Amino acid sequence: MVHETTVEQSLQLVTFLVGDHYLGIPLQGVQEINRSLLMTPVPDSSRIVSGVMNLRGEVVTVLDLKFILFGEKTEIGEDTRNIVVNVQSERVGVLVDRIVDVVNVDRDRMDDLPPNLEKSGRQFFMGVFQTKKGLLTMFEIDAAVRESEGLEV
Amino acid sequence: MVDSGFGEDEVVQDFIVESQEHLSDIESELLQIEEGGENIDSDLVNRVFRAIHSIKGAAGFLGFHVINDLAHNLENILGLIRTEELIPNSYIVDVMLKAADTLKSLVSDVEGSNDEDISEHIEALKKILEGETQEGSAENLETLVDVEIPDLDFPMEFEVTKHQLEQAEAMGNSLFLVKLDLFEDYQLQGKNLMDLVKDLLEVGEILDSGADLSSVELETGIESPKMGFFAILSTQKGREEIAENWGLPLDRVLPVPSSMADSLGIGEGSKLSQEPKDMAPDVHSEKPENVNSLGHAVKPEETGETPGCESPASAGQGMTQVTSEIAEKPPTEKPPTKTKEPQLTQPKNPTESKKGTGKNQRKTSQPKKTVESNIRVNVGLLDLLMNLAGELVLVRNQLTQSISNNQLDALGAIGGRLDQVTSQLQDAIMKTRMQAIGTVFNKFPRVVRDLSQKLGKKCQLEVQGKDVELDKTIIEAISDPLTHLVRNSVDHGIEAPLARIDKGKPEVGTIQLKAFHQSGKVMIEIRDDGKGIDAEVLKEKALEKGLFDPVQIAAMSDRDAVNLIFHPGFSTAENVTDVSGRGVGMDVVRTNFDKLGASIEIETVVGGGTTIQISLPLTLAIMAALVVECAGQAFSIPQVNIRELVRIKASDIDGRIDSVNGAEVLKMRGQLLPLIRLKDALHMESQDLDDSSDQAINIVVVESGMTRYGLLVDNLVDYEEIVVKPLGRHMKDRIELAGATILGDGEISMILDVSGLAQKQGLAVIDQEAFHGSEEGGPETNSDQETLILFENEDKETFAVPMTLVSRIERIPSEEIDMVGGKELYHYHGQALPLLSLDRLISSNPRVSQDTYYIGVFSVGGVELGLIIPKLLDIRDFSLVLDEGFREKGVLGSFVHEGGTVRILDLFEIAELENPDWGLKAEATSQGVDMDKQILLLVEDSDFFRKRVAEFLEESGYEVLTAEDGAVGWELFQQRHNEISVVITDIEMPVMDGFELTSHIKGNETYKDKPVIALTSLASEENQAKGVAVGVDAYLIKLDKEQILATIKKFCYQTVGV
Repeated sequence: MVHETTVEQSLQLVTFLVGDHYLGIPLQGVQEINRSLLMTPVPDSSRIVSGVMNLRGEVVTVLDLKFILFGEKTEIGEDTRNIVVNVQSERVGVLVDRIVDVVNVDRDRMDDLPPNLEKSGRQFFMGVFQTKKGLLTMFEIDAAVRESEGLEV
Repeated sequence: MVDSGFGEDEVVQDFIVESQEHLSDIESELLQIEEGGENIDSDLVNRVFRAIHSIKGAAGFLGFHVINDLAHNLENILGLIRTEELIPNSYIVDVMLKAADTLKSLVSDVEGSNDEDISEHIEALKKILEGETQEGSAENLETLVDVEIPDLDFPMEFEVTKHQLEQAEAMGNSLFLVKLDLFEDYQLQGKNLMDLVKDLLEVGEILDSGADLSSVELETGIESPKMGFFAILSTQKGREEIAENWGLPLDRVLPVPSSMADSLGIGEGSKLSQEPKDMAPDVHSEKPENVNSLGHAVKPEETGETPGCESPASAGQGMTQVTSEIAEKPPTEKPPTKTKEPQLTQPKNPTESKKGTGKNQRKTSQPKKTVESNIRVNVGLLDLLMNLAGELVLVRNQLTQSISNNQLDALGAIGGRLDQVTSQLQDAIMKTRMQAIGTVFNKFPRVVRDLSQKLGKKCQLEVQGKDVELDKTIIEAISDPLTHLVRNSVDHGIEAPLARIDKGKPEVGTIQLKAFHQSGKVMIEIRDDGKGIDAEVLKEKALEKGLFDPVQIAAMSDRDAVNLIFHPGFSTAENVTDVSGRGVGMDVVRTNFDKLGASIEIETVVGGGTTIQISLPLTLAIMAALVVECAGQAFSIPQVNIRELVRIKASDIDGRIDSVNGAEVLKMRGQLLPLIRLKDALHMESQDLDDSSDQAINIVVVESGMTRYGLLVDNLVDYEEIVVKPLGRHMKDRIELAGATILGDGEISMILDVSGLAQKQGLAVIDQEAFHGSEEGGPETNSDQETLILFENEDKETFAVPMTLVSRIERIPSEEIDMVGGKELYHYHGQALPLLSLDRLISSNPRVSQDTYYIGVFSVGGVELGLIIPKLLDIRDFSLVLDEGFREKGVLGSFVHEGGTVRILDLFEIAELENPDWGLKAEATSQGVDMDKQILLLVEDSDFFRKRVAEFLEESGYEVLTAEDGAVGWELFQQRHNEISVVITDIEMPVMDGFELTSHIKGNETYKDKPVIALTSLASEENQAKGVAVGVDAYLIKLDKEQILATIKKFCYQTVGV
């Protein structure tokens, strides 16, 4: 019995850095993590959209996660990665500054967001886990992708 | 639920597919049966019978007893029609159509079918079987209505059945009571009782009659005994007319009062007792739309306000309720005889509505079994696919083999083959997705029939081009918006019959639905001969609704105003009717078509009708596009939107590009074209700093619907077949982007949406009329202008070819040019196209080898040839002053352009140089004419062409008179018509065009036999038809020497013979 509950409560998160924020999203929604950052810019588009990429014959929009969450533009560097997630049956890529790890967390041990958290991006954050590498914030990638559609930038 | 058959999903699936197939045509077939009426087409009826029969059989086998039952009853009736025991009329077909509809919906939900209530249909069908062939006849035949005539000076009761009244109403008849005196009017005039009946029948139908025997005085001695006779007649005739028939005073022909009509539930709109002749103009001037025939008051505006027929607002609805009410009554309950006030106008039975909701609940609680969508593929096509798949495997084997054997030199050939097989495969697979548009069109006869019946209008639908094929997804997507447009035509376009007659139009309105191919697109045209759309009314309404301010409205052209109907929140109906209202506006129609990449145009003549033209792409997935470069990025422009490419040399930029109040325009052939710089429109940063002034610029002239503009790009890359990929949701508001595509190198290119880009840049719709106006006034008609293709062989050698002679320009890779016996060939569309290289034929520098060449394709005597164009410079108009100093075989002469010398080529001589056969053929035909010098009249406004044509005609042994326009030609012709054998005329000419000249000649008794050959570059069907209409004897395309000579020869023999 005890074993079963831990299985149910355990959650695998893909963790990464966006700026100096340590963030995680459930592994389940992640289709792949891509090194290829060959993107075609979409002229005159909102700054949330970094561009579009050719993912094995499919044109996939790549979003600037840092811009969605914190209003800053991602500088593409050595460690920048593209996490491809599936949101409402559309594949979308999000840029992160660096992939950290895949970690197991216990859903029960998620702490509430500190009330003094900055406003920006707050609506997408779900809670905080205390890990060895520091405080890991889990956020809802679906909502971030979905709602960024209408964001006026 | 059903007990049997459900284990076998596949069988059920097959049953559904098969039944749907059977049912797909049934509607149009039933309508055809109705149209045929007494002339029963047994093949047609058999077809429908068999379809229903097989549904019945299979449904019985699978245990769908409701479907089985309905099909069985339907089959019975068809059986009677087949044996001609039953003549189909509109009522019978109506019942069958409704049953077929239900059958369709049952089949699409087979699992729930057994719970459906179809008793209404069964009953109606059974009644027909029992001989009831009119609406509600059985009961109505028995239901009697008292007829009371108020002013009758004797007690008399007449009995008329409800059915008779309905009939009278349906036929637009009036009812009259005629008082006759059998003694005075008949016996004294030597007529007998048979004459009486004959006379009565002459006037109309006798509903009831009787003699007033109490008035007969039998006492002798009275000179004129009276024997009153009374008849109620249903007739088309007016009161005076009837009175005249017997020579009666008016007071002996009494209209039957409307109290009787009231008892039938016919409302105020009914004027059963009034004479139709009086009524027509009266009602008409008031509300021309509302009454179409006697008592048949249909108010389109009101039907929407009274949904569900809750109030008897109009007689039409009252009548339909009569029948439905009766149909619902259980057969055991005997209809009351002699009802004075049958309760006909009550709202529908409450139990009925309960039943309805119950049905709905059941439906929602039971998820529908989804039917897999199937597609039928022609076996031949399937075989082709198999073959191609086989070839693909072969190519793969070759490829793997050469890779493993390291035979890299073979890769090029394999790549070529792979390319070929893939494109063939792609074509074939696309074909499997193509469906005939008939699948959509077939439902419209029913739509038009039902709707016009409902609205009391008379419409016929003409359908053309059912075979035109479109991609399945497009077919599916156009069905709803097209239906909306057709309904609109019936509802708002076609007028009520009376209004039409008033305007001198045929009573029956015509709606034409046409599909056809035009320049790589499928066009759908919906044309009605209704009242048209009044731009002024639309403007007023737009103002009223506050959609635009008065200044904007005032500035609006009629065309813009008509397009207002596409504006969200705009409905043309005075009130939204339940017919075309439904909250779906034309803006939704427009959006639906836009999503398909279709454009929609409206042409309308107030009082004359409206034509809506929709141009659709053949397929959505793959399209031809021009890839251009802008700020280092590749963009694709759909080829269908491209009108032409313009390259402007650095030195010409100032002269060609100007600005009007800050808006840049391109001057082209005398017109001003708005110019959009793609870089600016997309706010892209320029990559090279030294752009502008010292480089030539490329402009793609694009067009979509009514907008046309020049799009300035950095570079033209290539034409490609691109596969359209959708863009993600973050880009869904980008109206200037139609999608994206992945190019050969894996790079993504955005596909530009030409109309979206114009919209984003705020380009106004170009008024086509103004556009054409400027064209006519501009230098276009200047007779010395020629459109030439300008190209270079070597840097210093420039050549030109008249554009009109070249049928198209292709771009080919040089590696695909084969050398066969010293001649170059290019394989193309399965045919070898001989290529002509200038350096081998005329004195010019050798061709420098390139990766790709352009070829100008032209034809000589039916043979297609390609002229290699190493470097295409420009296609533009030149004012030609031809210097013949450079004359050599193959070169017509030269002219000076931008400080250099340009040689104009004679394509036909060049062809002759390459292969004397091509030229000889032409000569043979000309030299075969052995006769006195025939004199030809050549009328042509272009100096260039006049000289060319005259030259080769003279070379062929004719004497040629020339004239530079129709008027001059007509003068000359009148003076010398005796000598002239054949007239050869251009069509487009100033002063008097070719059509007019021809009609002058053909309209004259003396000249009309003179052959006229029209020689033109305008090869459109419309022009040809016009040419034929004015009497052109032959219509030839500039400048096929051989054909021209052959035709002239033919006509010369003719005139000699005469």
